[in-house]
Amino acid sequence: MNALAATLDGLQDRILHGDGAIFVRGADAGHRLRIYADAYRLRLVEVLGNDFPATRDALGEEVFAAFVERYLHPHPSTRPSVRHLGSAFADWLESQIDAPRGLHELARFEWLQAATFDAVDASTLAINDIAALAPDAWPQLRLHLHPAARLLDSFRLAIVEGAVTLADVDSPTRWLLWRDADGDVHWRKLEDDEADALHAINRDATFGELCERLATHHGDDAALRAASLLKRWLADGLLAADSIDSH
Amino acid sequence: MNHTLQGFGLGLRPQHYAALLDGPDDAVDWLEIVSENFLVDGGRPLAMLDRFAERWPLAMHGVALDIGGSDPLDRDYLRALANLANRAKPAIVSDHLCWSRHRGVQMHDLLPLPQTGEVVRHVAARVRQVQDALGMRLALENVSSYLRFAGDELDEAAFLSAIAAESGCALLLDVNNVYVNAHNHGFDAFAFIDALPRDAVAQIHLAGHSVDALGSGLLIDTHDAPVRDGVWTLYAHALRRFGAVPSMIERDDHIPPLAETLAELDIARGIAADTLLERAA
Repeated sequence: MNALAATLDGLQDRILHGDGAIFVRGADAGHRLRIYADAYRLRLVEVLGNDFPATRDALGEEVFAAFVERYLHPHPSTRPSVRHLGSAFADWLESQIDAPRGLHELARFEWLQAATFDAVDASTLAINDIAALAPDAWPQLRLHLHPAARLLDSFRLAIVEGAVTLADVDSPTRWLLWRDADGDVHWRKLEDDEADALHAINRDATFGELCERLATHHGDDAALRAASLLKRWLADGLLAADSIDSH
Repeated sequence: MNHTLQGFGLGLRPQHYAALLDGPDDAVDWLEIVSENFLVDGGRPLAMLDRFAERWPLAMHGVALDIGGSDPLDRDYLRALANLANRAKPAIVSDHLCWSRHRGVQMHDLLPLPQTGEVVRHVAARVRQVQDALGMRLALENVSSYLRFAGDELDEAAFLSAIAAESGCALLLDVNNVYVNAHNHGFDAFAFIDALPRDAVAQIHLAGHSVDALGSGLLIDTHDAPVRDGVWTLYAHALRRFGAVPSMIERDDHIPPLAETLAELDIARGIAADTLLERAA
């Protein structure tokens, strides 16, 4: 298939970079090739615009498209589904000196929303699952976050009219994103103690260690706060059922 | 669920999820999913797939198989496709006669192949590998295109026919793509239909197209508009040749409300009823 590969080399180079050998028939070959090159660029700009709508709006359509075209050079699509095209976009934006400060955080937030939407399914932990736990089992209990739950710490994100957007000034914020039983994605700001506790769970801390962590915020009221947080996490479906199975 | 396709279907799009699920079963006879949209780990896409699979026969239509490319077939993708087929239990699995990946880069487009005997043999060998991996027959769709290669040895109908004959694959005939290519490459669309093997066409797509906004006079396969009159005429011709082939409206952009799409499907039903009656007489 050397002849086929050579032909596809040329056509692909024309579409991706506007150069390359061509073996196309007809006098208007240049225009016919341009249709493919334009379609490639427009399609992938649209895909990332759908994945990063707030990032696109922050930049404006034209500037966003220019950023996407630059991104595609070092990060061409390598997976069959366009779903994965934006996986490196936030990190790449962080390295771009002409990107607005903090824009990569907005992109990262949007990417986590997508990751939450179609993360792997798993049963959620229910109150009845933990009600039967013996009191002496609690300190060593290692809770697991549901695979669709995501945590993010940011410096330049804010909530404006109910939507996450780029802040004008530094505004350190900690976020939780999760998916409910109907498949809808939600997010909320976290208080520092809750964020610390959830990060501790992600680092495989025991419930005892989690309470120690909360004690730095709440002193003797740490157990009450732990119970309150646990109740909310269970109601939101943030914990995986295998938190119990693994013990 | 009866896992065969008969009658008239729609390309399943998220904009129609609620209206389809709230409506009667007989609004459509079957649904076609875009396979890649469901190659995800979990969440709503797969939950919705299960709900639709409970009520309607499904077809799986892929865009990333790269059946004609010179990169090796993507084994991980084939495994994912086989897993999805195991879940969706499709009556048909299809993709396009094109290339879509080269040197590891996904183009996310359905790009034309040189139409040569060598490529026929290359594609046929890969079709057999795919059919072995999936455990079922593959259907390949004719793609719309804007260019032809200087080294082409076969016209498009002969190219499709040779691949079907050599590989044993089925054909998914996109009537709009025939219409667009006939215009763009200057061939007779009716003769194209007549040159395809009678027994290989397993499914038909109907869609709309646009005129090149840059003024070249070429037709662009946008799949974002109602089916044009010329495509309906060609559809009737295809039914006269191939008989009652399961047919569907494929709309990829500017998705209208379900009722509007179903009304367009009713046009297909009407043409099929008239044509097949005439064919039987």
